Amino acid sequence: MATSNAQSLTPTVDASPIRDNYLTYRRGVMSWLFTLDHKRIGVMYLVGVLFAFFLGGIFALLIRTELISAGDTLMDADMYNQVFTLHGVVMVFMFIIPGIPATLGNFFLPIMLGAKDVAFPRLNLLSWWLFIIGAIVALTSVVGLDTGWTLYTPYSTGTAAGGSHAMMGVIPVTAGAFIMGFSSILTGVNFIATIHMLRPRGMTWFRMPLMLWSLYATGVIQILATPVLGITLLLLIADRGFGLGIFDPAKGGDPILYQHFFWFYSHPAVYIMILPAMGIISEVVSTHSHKHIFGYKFIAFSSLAIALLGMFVWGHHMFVSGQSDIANAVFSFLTFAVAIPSAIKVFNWLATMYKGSIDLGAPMLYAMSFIWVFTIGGLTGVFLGSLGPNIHLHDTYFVVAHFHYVMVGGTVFAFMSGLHHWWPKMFGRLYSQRGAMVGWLLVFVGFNLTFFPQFVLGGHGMPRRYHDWGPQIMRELGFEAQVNLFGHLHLISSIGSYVQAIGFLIVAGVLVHALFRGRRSPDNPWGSPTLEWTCSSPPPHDNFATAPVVGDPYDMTGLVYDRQTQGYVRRGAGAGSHGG
Amino acid sequence: MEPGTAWAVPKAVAPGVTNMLQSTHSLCTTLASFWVPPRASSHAAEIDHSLLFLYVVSLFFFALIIALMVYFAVRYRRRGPEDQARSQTSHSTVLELVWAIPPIVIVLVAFYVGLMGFLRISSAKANAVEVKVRAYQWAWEFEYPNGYKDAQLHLPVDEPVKLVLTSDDVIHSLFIPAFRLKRDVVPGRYNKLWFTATKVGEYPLLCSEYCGTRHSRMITKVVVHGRGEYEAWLTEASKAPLEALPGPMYEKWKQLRTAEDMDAFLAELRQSDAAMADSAAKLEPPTITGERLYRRFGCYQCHSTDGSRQTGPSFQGLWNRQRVFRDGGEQRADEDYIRRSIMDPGGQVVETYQGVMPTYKGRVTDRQIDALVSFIRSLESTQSQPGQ
Amino acid sequence: MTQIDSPSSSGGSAAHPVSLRVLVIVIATLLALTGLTVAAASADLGAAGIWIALLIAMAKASLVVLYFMHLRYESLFYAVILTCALFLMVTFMAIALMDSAAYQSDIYPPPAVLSS
Repeated sequence: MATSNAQSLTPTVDASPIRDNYLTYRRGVMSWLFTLDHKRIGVMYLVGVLFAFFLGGIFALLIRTELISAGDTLMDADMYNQVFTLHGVVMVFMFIIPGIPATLGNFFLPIMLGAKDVAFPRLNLLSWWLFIIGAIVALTSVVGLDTGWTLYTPYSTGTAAGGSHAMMGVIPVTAGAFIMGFSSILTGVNFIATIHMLRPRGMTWFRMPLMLWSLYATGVIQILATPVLGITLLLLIADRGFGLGIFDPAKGGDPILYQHFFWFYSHPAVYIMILPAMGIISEVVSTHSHKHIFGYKFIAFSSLAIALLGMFVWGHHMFVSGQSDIANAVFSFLTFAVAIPSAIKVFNWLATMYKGSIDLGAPMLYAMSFIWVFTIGGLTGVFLGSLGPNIHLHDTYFVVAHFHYVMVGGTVFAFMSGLHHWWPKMFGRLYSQRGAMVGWLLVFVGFNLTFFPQFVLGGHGMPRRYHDWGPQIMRELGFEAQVNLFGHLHLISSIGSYVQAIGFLIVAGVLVHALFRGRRSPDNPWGSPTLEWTCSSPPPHDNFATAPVVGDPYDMTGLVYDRQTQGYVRRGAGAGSHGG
Repeated sequence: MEPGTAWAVPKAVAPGVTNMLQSTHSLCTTLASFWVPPRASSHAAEIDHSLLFLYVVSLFFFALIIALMVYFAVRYRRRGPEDQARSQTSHSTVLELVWAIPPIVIVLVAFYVGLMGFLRISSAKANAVEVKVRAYQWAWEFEYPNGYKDAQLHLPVDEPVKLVLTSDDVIHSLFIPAFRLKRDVVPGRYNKLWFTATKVGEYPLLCSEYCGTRHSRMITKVVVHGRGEYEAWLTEASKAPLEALPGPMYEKWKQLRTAEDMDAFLAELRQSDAAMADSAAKLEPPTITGERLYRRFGCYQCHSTDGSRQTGPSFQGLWNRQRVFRDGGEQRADEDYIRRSIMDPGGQVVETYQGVMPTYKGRVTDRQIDALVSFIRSLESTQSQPGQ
Repeated sequence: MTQIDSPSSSGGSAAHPVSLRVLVIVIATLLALTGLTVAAASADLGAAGIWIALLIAMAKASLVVLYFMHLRYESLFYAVILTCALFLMVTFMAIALMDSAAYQSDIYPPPAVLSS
């Protein structure tokens, strides 16, 4: 099916300095803080989100250092409880939920779609401001909250004797998370509206790159689930501030009801974390294998299936809470069901690599290591979704290992892959592949060293959120052997965390160095067929100088290497006339 | 071929096959011990088999995926910027079914097996020994059918047990790794568990739902007694010889200091009441009894004996020290003070401490308090100590 | 600024002002239903009370959504979306309440608040 717009898209080869792009369009702090340009908003989010990652990472290193030896290594139990709580709060609400959608999603969704901006640019700016304000509010309690990021009642309502007494803890963090929730909802609204309404002529649903399908599915979850979290947090504040007793058994309330409310959001939230990551992997694997993505429709529908099924599995966090057997069975069954679309995606990515022409640069290395760690994370999720094994493994380090494998291994690795893939496009600079690979290797090895031993720890019964793995009481009771085992595994895990930290610092160094000293990037350094590579690197203020021609987003024909720019250009009849 | 030789080959091979199966089994057990502690309950086998099934399946798929990925990355490595992919095939419904259907079958099996394992512990069993479990910050209390209360969980081997769980304050969780057993302990509600311990021994019991400062110290142990020994233990433990002592003898007991004193005391008791003397033989001098109770009631969780400040003040050197309270009042730490602190701790909280101590009213007898007082008295410091 | 090249999926209808007559009828109905709510709250209707109150509330919410929020004049697509969201909410409430009902027999009277 040929489009009527037969304009060829051979861009002029231009090796001159970067000019007239979104970075240089207007200058000054105000032109950034009050911008309506989705690309600038994406970059501002990137700064915020990476700062949160750094902060959460510091907390993580404090935790691992504390656990390097028995007893109070660095801090007492109260301080430790606050540190692991803050690690969770910062990483979940300030890093990983905004994460990919707000940074790479904001930057690239309109461009990949062929639009000039999102549907509601002012709402987009508001989302960013809500993120910043919410983060500041939450961080006013940098120490104080010690309930765990899950804020379980009645400990968090403080109404029970021995509940969290830190007045400075629960309310600021809860209020901050509430505000950041709106940031997330509005981003979802924007993305969905943009994808429905701003597609150019010829861009049918099945000609959208898979990244957009993931962002769409993510947006659906953001809109449906986040308001429930908002209400839950309000109820929590009401219970704590006014002693209403909704969750307090002493007043006839139900502490388990809180868990239902909380997990109704927080389980779909993990799909907010992973779906965009999977979108990135689809783009990176196909581009860097120089091959059409395999199973486009299956991957697209899998994203929707995960989003929808994922709304109905929250009870698998509550299998041992005393939930009824029927509810347990239903939740377990659906949890297994939601694993299948993810498996389908992994096989499709592998099939994409088959007979491709695979470029083992940094983006592809991160994508392949994503497959390694996501497979482990996903499979261990199956262990936890199974009722019998869940009894043994729930609330142990096995769970900690599982979710770090999918969240760090999954989302963070995909994020790194996306950053390395799109960095040249976003900033017009190429980074050192060698440096990036060193960073990758340390991150990958360090990550596995940190979290794999934790599966063993959990299997042997080490519970989570323990300040001390070898309290005196264990020895007094005669369990020396268990304590020694725990100690060895924690030591390995902590060493791994330092390796990881060094790796991330190297990654940061390599990318930042590229901003100032990197070689200029051509429009299309990797030979990718999607629309964002047809505009300049960095893109111009309004994305496209001329309206883009739309065809199969993964059509590689006609992409040839141009020695002069050291990039790829599209020549000949391959320019976008293939059906989807 | 002659008739009868048809079985010759299988017969020859059979021992070999049996050996192989046996070594596979012990290999599995060894491998499993890498991941989980040895099992000691009836349903643990079922759960371990689920775990093994999932482990094998996971290993298979992980190996398959990684092998393919690495092979493709090497075999189809890009040879230069002008290199092209060998194929642009982008869909195959057959393949999609091939890799969707086996996982669907596997997860259905895994779901069923997992469900069965879970239902074992939530379905009632007849004639179960019932133990009431009370969790509180930050210790456990187990109440046996005869009303006796202990800080450790004692069970008979090979007999069904029912645990009724409730919490005094926040959500805790009872976790016995060796039994593959876990259930949240929720305030305001009873959760129930059924299981059978199958191996004599001692196993850790931990709290696995974050519950505050000393969550990581909320640990006790499970003691599984051999056949016929559980009743004997319960009878012995339930004996409260301290309570049964008649008044005048009790006053004498309070003065005991050494083992020799104890012997003389028991001799005197035997002359007046032989039966009483038998049960009293398990008694120890007051300070030792007090130390046992210090452990049994969980005091050690918050009060040290070495002078170090914990959630509560240390007992070392506490006796007769002047206490200053948060509301400004003062009192000397004498017997009356200690008794009041145990029965109504919130009434007089020492400055710089939080009022988090639970009350022991109804849980400790007057004589037990006497023993505790005796113990605390014995911890007078012999050296100057850091301020409390 | 954003330019919409062409509405490529179920587009919104052009601006369609609802007539004053309709708006007045709707608000009058809403006020009447509010009166009904107050009356139902004062009367003792026993177990049916909560269901009647919910029914009246649903009627009022429907009027607001259909007329004030314009759903009646929009394409069916939006009604489908709203229905899906409502379905999700109902499922969530149903599962949470069903679960809570299952363990009601295990609840005991609230413990006395411990000294603290």
